[in-house]
Amino acid sequence: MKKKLILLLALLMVMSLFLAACGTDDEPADDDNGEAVEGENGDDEGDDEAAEGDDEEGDDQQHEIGGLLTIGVTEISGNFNPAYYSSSYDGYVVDLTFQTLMNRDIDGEWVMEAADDWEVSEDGTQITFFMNEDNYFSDGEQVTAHDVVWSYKLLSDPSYTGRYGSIADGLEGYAEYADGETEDFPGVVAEDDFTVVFTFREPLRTNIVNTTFHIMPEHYYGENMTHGDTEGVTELSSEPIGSGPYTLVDFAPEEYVYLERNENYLFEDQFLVEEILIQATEMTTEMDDLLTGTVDLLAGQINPDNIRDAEAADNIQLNEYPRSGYGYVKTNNEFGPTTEKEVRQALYYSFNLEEFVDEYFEGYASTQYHPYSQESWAVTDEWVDSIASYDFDMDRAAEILDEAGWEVGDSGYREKDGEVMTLYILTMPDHDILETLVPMWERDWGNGLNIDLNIAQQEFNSILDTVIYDSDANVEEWSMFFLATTITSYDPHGTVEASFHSRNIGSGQNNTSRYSNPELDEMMDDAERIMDQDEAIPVYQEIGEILTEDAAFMPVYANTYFDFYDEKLVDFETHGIYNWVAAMRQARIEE
Amino acid sequence: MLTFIGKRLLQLIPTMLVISLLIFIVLDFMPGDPVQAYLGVGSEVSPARQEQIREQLGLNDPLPIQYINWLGRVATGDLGRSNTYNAEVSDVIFGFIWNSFLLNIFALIFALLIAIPVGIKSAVKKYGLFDNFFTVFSLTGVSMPTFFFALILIFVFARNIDWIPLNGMRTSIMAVRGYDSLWANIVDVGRHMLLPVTVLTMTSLATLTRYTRNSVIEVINQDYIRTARSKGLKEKVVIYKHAFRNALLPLITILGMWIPALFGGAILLETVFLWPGIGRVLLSGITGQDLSLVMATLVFYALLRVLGNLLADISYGFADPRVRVK
Repeated sequence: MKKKLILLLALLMVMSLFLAACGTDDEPADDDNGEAVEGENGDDEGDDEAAEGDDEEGDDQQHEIGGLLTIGVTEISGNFNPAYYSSSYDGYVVDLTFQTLMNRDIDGEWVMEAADDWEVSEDGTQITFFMNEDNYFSDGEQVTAHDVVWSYKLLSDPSYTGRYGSIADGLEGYAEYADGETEDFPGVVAEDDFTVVFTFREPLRTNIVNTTFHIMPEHYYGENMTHGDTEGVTELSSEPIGSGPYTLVDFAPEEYVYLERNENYLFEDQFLVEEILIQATEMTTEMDDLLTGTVDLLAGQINPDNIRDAEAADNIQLNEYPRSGYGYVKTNNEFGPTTEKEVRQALYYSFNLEEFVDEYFEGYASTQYHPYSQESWAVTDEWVDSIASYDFDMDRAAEILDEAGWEVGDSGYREKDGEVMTLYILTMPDHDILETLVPMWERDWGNGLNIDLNIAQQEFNSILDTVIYDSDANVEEWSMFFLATTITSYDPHGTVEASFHSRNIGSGQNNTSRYSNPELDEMMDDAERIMDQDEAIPVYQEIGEILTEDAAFMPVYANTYFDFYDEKLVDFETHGIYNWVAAMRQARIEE
Repeated sequence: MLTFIGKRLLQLIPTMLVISLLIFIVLDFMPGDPVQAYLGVGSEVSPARQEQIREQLGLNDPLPIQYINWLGRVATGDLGRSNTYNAEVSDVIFGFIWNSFLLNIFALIFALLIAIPVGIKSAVKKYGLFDNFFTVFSLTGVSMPTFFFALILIFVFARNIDWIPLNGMRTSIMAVRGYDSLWANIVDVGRHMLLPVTVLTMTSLATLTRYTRNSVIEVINQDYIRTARSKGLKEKVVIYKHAFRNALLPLITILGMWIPALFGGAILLETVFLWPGIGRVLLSGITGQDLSLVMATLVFYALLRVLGNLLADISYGFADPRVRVK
């Protein structure tokens, strides 16, 4: 009897533990699994209007510097070297501790930072910056044109192993310098201590943004560097010295980074929060951290449950903005039925995007039919309304396939010339989004349109192997795959060029759908030369229309991002490209 | 004894070579491309430049050459550079390993303090109320996934009790500003250790209790125990002096195996509790395809395990003169 009682008690204990677990919120995984960041270094932005170097007239009322802001992030690896970091979390620290010659404001307009003024030569190949003569690094040394030149020489060095080489590779003499043939680098020259001249091989609109790499002090990073040997620079990663608004004071890997406002920072009326603590958080408990005040800010949130919790909390403010980027399905343009435009269109018409967005994101997302960021200057409301859309229409899809000669045959599947329509779909295991998408595809494409679906599961890295790293050898292994992308530039060029220009087809390159359209290639090449943004808008809109009409790929969703923050943080404005770091320029703490 | 240890240490060399070679081969099979992972997916680094980087990192050499190069570097104490942390691998490993050690050593001490008396008591009153309760309790402890148990503790305790933190190793802002005293520092870290140490203790408790119980049961059925009892010795003396010392033997094997675990981080536990330990480092190394880091960490784990076994063998000799090797 006793024995039974004990067993019963033990059983009860186990049961209660399980029930407690069921009561906790499920963790809807972000789509991080399928993330591919395009143009992260923003090397394809551009703007022709030479904004004059006014330092952002402040409000009439002068605010004081002060307060502590704690930000929760999910990763702190500690590589804070501007030329070598690759995680976007480390990028926050780099952006806070280093300066550029100029910056974008929240409207995407250029504002001056380390430079007071700039001019573009008439032929468009030369850009000259006149730098501020009263600007100092956090260690007290002066910021000069030589530091800018040195930073670009680092990116162009033969032994450079970081990811930002493409910022410099359009400069005159890059190839010769990067091959180690010569010590001369005519692409970037200090005319005097405070004048730096960039010379590019071709007059491209996208050159401008490539002049805005972080300025690294030569006296610190360059101490142990010679042409062809950058090892000494790589080693300086956890103690950054720059001229940005903050200096790094304390750092514990995987725990926190603590920054204090840089006393030498050029602009006294900007970046008014005195201390910033970047703190490691865990996705399951980050909302608790926010609600209990352990952290003051969580950026880029998408979980509907968390959004409702934040809305319900008294002291929490929310910024809401569309993601700059999207989850997408790409189809193989070199192999199988998806090489036919009609097939791609039919698949698009029979893909119920609205249903997916409602079901998965509970309304916190939108659909779009063009390849650009919603923050891009090429995207206007009228244009978005005017372009072709693939609203869900099964009859239309079936009709298109019938007309294209794909009719249901003896096999029970659609066939053409004796060949069954088979789609090889690459998916990932344990991926929440795909777990919602795949049953929809099976229902509408499989059962609805009688297409033979061959759905394979692969790890994220294996999919990247198949469609990017080793794509040439795997062309006939897949028909479609799902990934997501984040776009960090206002200029639409990089987005379409990387993904759809035929020169970017091949192993290790980003035209993963292997889309080739010579006419479009030419349009893109020409468009990059248009220096005036307003003139370029209609050209990029036309490029977008061609891609949509061609169903070159299928953007699936652009989710709505939220920043949750404590109400003590005021004047904090963000959007899909203008992140919390950028927003710190105007934000301040009001206790 | 010394020659025995020396011999065993020499045997370690071929063992470690085979293990490291196996790890090297397996890592080469990992999907993904280290250069691409390092540059970041979708980075617009030209294929020519990527090739240059690959060449510089020695990734174009045939596998055997790469392995020999790696061995050569390790022999000179150079474990390579971690891409994820952009630091020397040895610095990364030794920067995090003591945090894992801190958790594990406390967990082990608590587990032993509880497991040994509980194990003995269960053995002495086999199938009694106490024994049955702990049998069920151990089985629950063994069967429950670490992260699941950790989450339960977080939601039940950390959420509702102010002074129990959700995660982390210390309060960042206190660490930044500097602790008022060493005591304040200890209290802060101690608070943060409470839940993870509880989880680790609970999960190791089960195994240790069962081992102690079983080996004591085995021993108290031996003839010499019966002799001791028939001599009229007190039951306490019989158990703690005669039985327990002999029952220690199998326990020492287990403890030998436990040594690597002391330094090895629990990946899931450290992730859930955001504990800056070696387990989390290994995980971020794997996701970031940081081959030097993963390789070094795995080889290090293997080495610890082999050393742990050696230590167990040696300590046998101390506990039981009969197995002392000449």
